Amino acid sequence: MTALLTVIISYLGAVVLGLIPGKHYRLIRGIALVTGLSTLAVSLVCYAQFQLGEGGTFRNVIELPWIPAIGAEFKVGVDGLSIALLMLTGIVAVCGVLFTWTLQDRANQFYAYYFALIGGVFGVFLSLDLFLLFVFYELAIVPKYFIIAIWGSGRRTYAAMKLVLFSFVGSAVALLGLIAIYYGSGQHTFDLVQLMHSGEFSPKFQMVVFPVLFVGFGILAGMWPFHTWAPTGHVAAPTAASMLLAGVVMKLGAYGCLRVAIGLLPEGAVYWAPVVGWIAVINIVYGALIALVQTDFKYVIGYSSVSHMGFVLLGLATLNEVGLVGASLQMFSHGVIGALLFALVGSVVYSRTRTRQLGEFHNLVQRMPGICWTFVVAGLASMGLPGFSGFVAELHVLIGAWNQDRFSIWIIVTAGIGVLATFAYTLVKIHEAFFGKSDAPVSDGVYAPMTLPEKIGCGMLLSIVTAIGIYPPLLTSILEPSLAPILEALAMAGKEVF
Amino acid sequence: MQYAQLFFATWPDLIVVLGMFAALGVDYTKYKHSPVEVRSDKVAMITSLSLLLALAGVVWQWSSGVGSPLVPADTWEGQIVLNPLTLGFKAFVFALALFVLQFARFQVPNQHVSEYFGLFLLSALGMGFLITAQNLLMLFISIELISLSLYGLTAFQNSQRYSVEAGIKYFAIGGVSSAFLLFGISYLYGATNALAFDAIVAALDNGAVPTGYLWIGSTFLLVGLGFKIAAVPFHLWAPDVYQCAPVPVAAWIATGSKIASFFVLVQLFGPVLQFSAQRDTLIIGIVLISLLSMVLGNIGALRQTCVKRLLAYSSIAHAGYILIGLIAANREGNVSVLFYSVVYAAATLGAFAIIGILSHRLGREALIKDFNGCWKKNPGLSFLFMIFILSLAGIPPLSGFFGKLYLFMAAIGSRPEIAGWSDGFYWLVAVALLMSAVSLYYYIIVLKAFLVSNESPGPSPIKLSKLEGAGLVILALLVLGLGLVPMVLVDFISYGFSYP
Repeated sequence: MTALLTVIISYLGAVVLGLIPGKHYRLIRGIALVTGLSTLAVSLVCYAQFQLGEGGTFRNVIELPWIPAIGAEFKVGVDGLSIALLMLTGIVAVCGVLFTWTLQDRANQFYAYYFALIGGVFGVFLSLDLFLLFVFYELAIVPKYFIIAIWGSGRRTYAAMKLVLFSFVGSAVALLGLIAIYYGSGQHTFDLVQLMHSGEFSPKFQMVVFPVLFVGFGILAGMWPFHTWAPTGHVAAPTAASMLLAGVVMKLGAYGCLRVAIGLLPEGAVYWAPVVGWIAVINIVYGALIALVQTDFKYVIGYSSVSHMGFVLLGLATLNEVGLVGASLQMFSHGVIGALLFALVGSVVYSRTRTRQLGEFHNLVQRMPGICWTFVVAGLASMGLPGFSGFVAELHVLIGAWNQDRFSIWIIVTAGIGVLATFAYTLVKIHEAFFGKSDAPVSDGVYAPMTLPEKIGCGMLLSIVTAIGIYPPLLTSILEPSLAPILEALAMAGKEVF
Repeated sequence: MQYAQLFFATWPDLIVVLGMFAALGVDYTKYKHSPVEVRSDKVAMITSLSLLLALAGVVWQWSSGVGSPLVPADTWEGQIVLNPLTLGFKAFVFALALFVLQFARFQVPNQHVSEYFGLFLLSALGMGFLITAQNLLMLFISIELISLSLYGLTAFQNSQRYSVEAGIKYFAIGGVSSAFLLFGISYLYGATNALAFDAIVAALDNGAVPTGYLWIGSTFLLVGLGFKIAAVPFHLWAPDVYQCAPVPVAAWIATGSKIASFFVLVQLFGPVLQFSAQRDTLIIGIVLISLLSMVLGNIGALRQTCVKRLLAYSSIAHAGYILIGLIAANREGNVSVLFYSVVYAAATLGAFAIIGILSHRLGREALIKDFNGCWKKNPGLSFLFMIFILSLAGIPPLSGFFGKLYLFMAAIGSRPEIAGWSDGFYWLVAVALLMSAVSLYYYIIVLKAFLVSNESPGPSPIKLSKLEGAGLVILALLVLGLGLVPMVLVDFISYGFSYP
């Protein structure tokens, strides 16, 4: 029951916030913060329970009959992977509220959509029934449109529509795969656990259906060449939504790829691994190179998200323990770092400079020193320097890729180039943004320092990144046992395919 | 035939007829010189009351057990078949009519108040009879009753050329479709020597049926019913009629008439598809109709600026989705068709009602941009509109999502193996899913006007009468509730199909 509280609290918060008149924006942001904090608290309780308690892979399982006509149940539960992502969602939800502290325009509606989206995200990570998972997956689509279209900037309705249509097409493709699974298993059930243990999918079935599922979920994970919604969407979105989109929503797709596509169709995964590997490294290099030539600061971060999601996909394609743990760590790590970068660029810097064009930034290192050094630290974390969570995650992924026999050496080499490109764009853009001088300097005045909510948000995110970087077992200890069943299935599949 | 039996089977309908005459009589005597508002108020009261009583009567028939002397199960060769399923759907159609009347009473198009409401009642009667008919003759007569009333209603805004034009167009095309129906009926009768559905099925089961006649008969019937459900290529009347008819009439055509047509389609073609030797050819035909409807309906809707016209194209597309369930040609498929027709009707009626309220305030055709900034004028109304539209778009947890999924799963479930790409219906469902993504685009465009835009032209704020508000809330609860606990309706329909 504990885990389900995250969903209940989010939706309850959405309803309550939507009903409060918009003019009481102070009350509204207070309630929003409390809602976010309570979901985070619940996910931390789940973490503690998982660390202390004994039991099978899935804990906190609730199983209720729902729609027997199509074999769907209301079944939720958590394992280590879900808990990691629940905590991530809680953290980003709280920080999103902190960095939107000054919002007044239609605040009640904003937080109603915001928590409707978050509720859907929590639901996906909790669902142990494919139908339920899909319901939550789609529930998270529509609020995104309104958040971006109403409170966004730039070409916001275009970006919102593009994002929603990409998400919806992705989910439609995935749905086709899910229906195939339902009938292909011969058991007429959507129960994820049952399907993992006793679903008997023929090798041919797996080969056909795996790409359908992987692409369907992969679209939301920003998989090349279906990633184009991500930069436009992230850039047009208001800060809290960019943080959620880059930090959490893209992980929905990766989670679906891992839990459903790889978890249920291991032979298909083994068969398609090299292709997925290539797509992943294209993601890494392509995203990094495009980020290198952006002139809009937020687009840099947008493309860096695409690049970092490439590491997640590469980790998934390795299909071995190190790689999968790396992929899960990278999901968490990029969730936190991506949220931090978007918060700094979209809210902290922008609210002061009123521009995001790198060419117009003038000597920011002296005009906003505190913010500048915060960003430098965040950038180093994003680059994957030792001591930060990104390093641990990317190292796992690369070692995993090295251990995957079916990868050609060029995949590893390309990934290495991607790492270098990441260094390049991060350093170049930090230089341009904070240490560069504009040709037409307007003024040299010093900007206001960070406000309290901003300091708390940045501090929270940075300390999490560092904590995981210094002591990875915080997460690996819950991830490893939870990935074991998937790895067992993969080991069996590897023997059968070769 | 015993008249007592006939009376016991049709007394709720008689109440409706009496209500209609009462309304006409009162309107032309006591309130002859009163202003239109007073007359429409009184007439709507009388007609609603009679419908309510009839609805109660149907529910009583349903609850008191079919087959008892007071509720005869079958009156003369399937002309009026009362069983839980038919009674349930008849009750639902009457309830829909009741909703439509509540919205229509504030938007009477001209001086002929009692005729307007009378025609609504007549068409509702026709739909009730169509649902209980399991006999080709009765089917034809009830379809004519529905159609003739609807032609009149469409042209009711007789001060406007377009309304009359749409009425004539509807009449011309509808007349042709009736000819198709009658022609098909005559061939089917010639082939099987039977008019009752069960006798036809028995003849098909025997196998001694001249296939040529059967083929012609069922094709023509399909074409005739295709007109009624506005499936491509028999859809051309729909956009004009939806756009130019008074809004409550358009809503009524889109909901009541559709439900009744789909009901009879399932009753007739469900068994035909299960037993007929032409099954595979017929299925190819239906697949083609369904495919064209989905593609043309959704693509046609993309560029519309008039909301009613947009909903017309979307209803064409929805006819395509629903036919996917029929293609499954099994019990599950039939159940899914009926389920979807109910949830579709609830959501469409809600959407039309809101459009009607708003365009009545404008005093003209409502374009999408007229809805700009509606969230400021009435947030609750905008929220309800979002529920209806998202259900049509198929977003969970609203019932439109489960309805669509159930249709798709029924179709795939009828041939679940993955073999060649053209075997089974995975490809058809893939097209349908792609087309729902297309539909999401135009649904969101409409929602954008309601919920995103900050400008707000026109008078403000929007006020609803209590009846309108209650009706909308009930419809929204139905749309949401059937999405959360769909088994209630699924079980009801399945039970109805298995009823002896």
